[in-house]
Amino acid sequence: MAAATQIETVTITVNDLELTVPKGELIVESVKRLGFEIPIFCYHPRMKPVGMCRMCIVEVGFKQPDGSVRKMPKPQAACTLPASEGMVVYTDTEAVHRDRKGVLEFLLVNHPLDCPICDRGGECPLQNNTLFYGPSTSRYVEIKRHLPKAYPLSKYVTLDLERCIQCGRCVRFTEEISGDSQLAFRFRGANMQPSTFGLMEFESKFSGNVIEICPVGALTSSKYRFRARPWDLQTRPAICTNCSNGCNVWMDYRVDKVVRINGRTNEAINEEWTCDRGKFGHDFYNSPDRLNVPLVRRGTALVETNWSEAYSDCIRAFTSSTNTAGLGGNANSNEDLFAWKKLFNEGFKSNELDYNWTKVAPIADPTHAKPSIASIEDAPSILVFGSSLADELPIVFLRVRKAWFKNGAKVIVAHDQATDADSFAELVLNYQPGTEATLAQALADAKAGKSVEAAAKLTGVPAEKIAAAAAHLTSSTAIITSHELLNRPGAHDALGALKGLGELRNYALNANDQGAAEIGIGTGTKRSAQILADARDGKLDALWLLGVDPFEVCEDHDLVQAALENVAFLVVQAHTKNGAFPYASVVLPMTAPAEADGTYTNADRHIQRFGAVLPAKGEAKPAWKAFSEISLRLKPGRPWFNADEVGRALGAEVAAFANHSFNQLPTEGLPLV
Amino acid sequence: MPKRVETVVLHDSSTPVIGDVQKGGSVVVTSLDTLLNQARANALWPLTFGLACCAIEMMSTVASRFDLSRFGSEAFRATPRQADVMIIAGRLSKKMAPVLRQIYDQMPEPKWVISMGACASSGGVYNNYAIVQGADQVVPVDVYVPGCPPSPDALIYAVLKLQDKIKRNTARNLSDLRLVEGLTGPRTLEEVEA
Amino acid sequence: MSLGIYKGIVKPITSGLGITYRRLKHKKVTVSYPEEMREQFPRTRWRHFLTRYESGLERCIGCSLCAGACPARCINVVAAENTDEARYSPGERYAVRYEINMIRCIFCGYCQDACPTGAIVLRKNFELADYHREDFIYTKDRLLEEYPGQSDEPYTSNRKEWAEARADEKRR
Repeated sequence: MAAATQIETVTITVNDLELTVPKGELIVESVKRLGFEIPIFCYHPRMKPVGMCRMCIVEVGFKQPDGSVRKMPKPQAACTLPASEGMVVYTDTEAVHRDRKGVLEFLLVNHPLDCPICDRGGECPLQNNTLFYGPSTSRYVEIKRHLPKAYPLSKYVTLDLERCIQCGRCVRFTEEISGDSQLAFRFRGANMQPSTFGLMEFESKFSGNVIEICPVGALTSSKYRFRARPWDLQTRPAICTNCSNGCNVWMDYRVDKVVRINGRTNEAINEEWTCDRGKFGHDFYNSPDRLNVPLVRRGTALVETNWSEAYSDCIRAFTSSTNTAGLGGNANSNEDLFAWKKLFNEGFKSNELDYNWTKVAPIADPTHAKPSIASIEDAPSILVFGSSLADELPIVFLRVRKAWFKNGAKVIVAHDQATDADSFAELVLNYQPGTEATLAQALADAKAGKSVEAAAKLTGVPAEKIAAAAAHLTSSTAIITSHELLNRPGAHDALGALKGLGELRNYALNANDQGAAEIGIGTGTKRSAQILADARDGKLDALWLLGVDPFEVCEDHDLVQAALENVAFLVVQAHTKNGAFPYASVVLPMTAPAEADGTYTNADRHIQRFGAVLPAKGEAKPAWKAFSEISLRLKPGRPWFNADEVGRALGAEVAAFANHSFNQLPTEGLPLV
Repeated sequence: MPKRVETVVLHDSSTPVIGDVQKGGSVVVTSLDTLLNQARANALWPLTFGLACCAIEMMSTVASRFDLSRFGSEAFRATPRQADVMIIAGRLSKKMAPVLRQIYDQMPEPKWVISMGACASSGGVYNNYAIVQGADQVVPVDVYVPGCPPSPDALIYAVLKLQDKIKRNTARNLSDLRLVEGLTGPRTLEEVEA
Repeated sequence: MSLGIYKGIVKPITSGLGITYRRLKHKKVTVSYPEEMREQFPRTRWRHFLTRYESGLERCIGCSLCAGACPARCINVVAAENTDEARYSPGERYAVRYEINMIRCIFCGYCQDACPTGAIVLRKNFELADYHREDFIYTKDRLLEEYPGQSDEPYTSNRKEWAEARADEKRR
């Protein structure tokens, strides 16, 4: 915080209260320090101010040498006004109130009053500001502007042009934050409309955010359309489990059904953004394929049974042989994974567990060093190596873009295909597929001053480009790769070469892959592909699939099918019927992430709590509970009663998780020790 | 659940109708049953159980404008031993519930319960820790009356519905007649629901 | 003695009968309810109806404002989108489910006040008592009026006349 002393401050007066603020801070932000409120529409703290809506107008004056205040002749927009010495701001005068009324009356001239059927009704900034600051009636009697209603811009976004107040938040979002520049204004004056080019498909990986930042109901969610009103909803904090970033979200549900997901602010993780994959990927909660009761195979059919019988079957198969294995994958909490490992190690005397499905194993990192996602912003240069960030870790992509957009970081993208990050990259190293290791070594060589001509020929990247890229690399360069790189043959060599070039961040892909690695799953002798191959060859007596559909995560479908067909005993523990379901010997219903308490470790080793939002479906149980109950049958003892107890046991065994149990974690989570 | 269509037969209070009675069982019991049902239905003595504002409407039901005595129900009794029908008028708090149950138990068979008003029937607006969410959690309820409070006409309508229900009651054997409480015991819930 | 009989028996009886006689001249106040109705007050609020436009389209747009305003939380609205093939109400949205728990309702009329289209109205049908609790969940098919402007006459005047008038209306 050395910089804090260097901040230049100015003294301004807000409603007769003196206030010292950093020089150049926008007045709309300054007045918040005193608790005053200025109504806004177009201003957004994370985007550049434009002063389009004029809602934030205030009276401004300057202190004269004789002590009097000379007011500016016209009101000023607080969102574009930087604080300067001697500035006097009035937010609560007669004139300001009159002006706000006028602005709102103008905004409402063309705004249809279809609030009762608008999805934004009840949580609409325009409604709220009109209620607090607006006129009670309108003098406008002429015919309002009529434009197409409910135009489907994309699968997720519905555009209602009549409701738009032309604040430009959505347009600026796609330009400044997501960078896909999909939306722009067309036409002028009252007819100005935000639209995609020729009203074509709105192709963005972050389109859900424009729904949230739209201050009216112009951009609404197609999935949430007419599903509920805000007062029908109950809202709970949740964690997105669709990728390893662990975005903080609000989960809105109505009568036990998730209807939408909104971004929740956590500066360390996702600021306030969500990606479309997370925001709209909640269908499985209400899926008709959810598993409600345990099933066991009797003859050729799976029949409904009780937990006791299902447990007996599992125990019989897994204790009669030590030649057993387990495969996990998508989104299980730390508690589930720990209980799973404990059951296999102590109950079934086996350690053949794996959660990772990449072609080569991730490098075990004994130092556990994982610079935080937020620190990407401060890096002077960023190398994105072999990862299509916007597809794999969308929120990390937004951080990288913010580092470039706000802080001028130099971004270098190395990938064998064109990626979304190319648009703002300083250098794009488009290498031949399969030459990752060569390019990484070439970068190291170039930095060391060696010749890279041979590598340039091999990778297809010009030598001067490699040299230019290497020139940007310093020890504080953020080097970002994802586990996707581990599907390439030369991944280990590439990672080894990259390690010396800067701060390497090899982020996991699935929600709790990082947690599984920390807990020690995947330390067996066999990797997932080997386990499947053993199963195919009939060398495996029993296989446990924990919340994973091998058909989804493994590219070799023939291998998966042969393995599932040939394994003697297959336990499928899942919340929804998946590809492995038809092959199962026993099906154990599991709660989905939002249906049980649990903690999740994200890609940068930030552990967060996710309290149960919904009730469990049918007889489904959290996975750790099932494991605990099986252990109890194998060896009498004290079971775990809640997720916190599992977390404490985990903390006692794995040092990284000490004091990180469910009840010990704060709302915003903690980095692992 | 399919909607049940109930044709309500309105009774002329001055000229009792012996009809609309489903017959069943043996000849003697059936006839006796009809007679008993008429007697019971047309002299329903209510037990005052005014718990809140609904009680005010219950009182005015007996007053001259609405005159519950036209249906033989003017004799409000303050003792459960002399009452046939308990009108739960008002929100039933959880503290009052055991008292209500005890008084209900003290009423002689045959006995009926009218749950008057939203609060007694379902808790109404008082969806909170203190109020029983429906008197049917404590005693079997024969007729529910919506309203907050129900007007005297609505309560009279409920009494008429109750009379209707009593008259529809069929006895298949002697114990169904419920002449001696000690022999038959209280009604089962199925009988109330019938 | 005779004076005593007069004072103690005859006089009270005659004076009592005098009161009875004087009351006989007054108009009878009792409304013999099932046969005739007392006129309900103009602002009486009883049974809910979902009304229709003259065109037969439902007024309800499924906005859930009634549910939001309801102090007893007894209204449940599930909305859906109108299509040109299946149009229930003008505009984009209609109520695919509309349920009122009549036994929890306190007939405050806030739903009627909140309704932006005047779809939900409380009319004067007070004869709502019933035997089973589950019968008090009034679903949309029970709440929706059969034809636009279905009247609540029976609760304002003579029942017989109303029945005839209604039969006439239906014939039209």
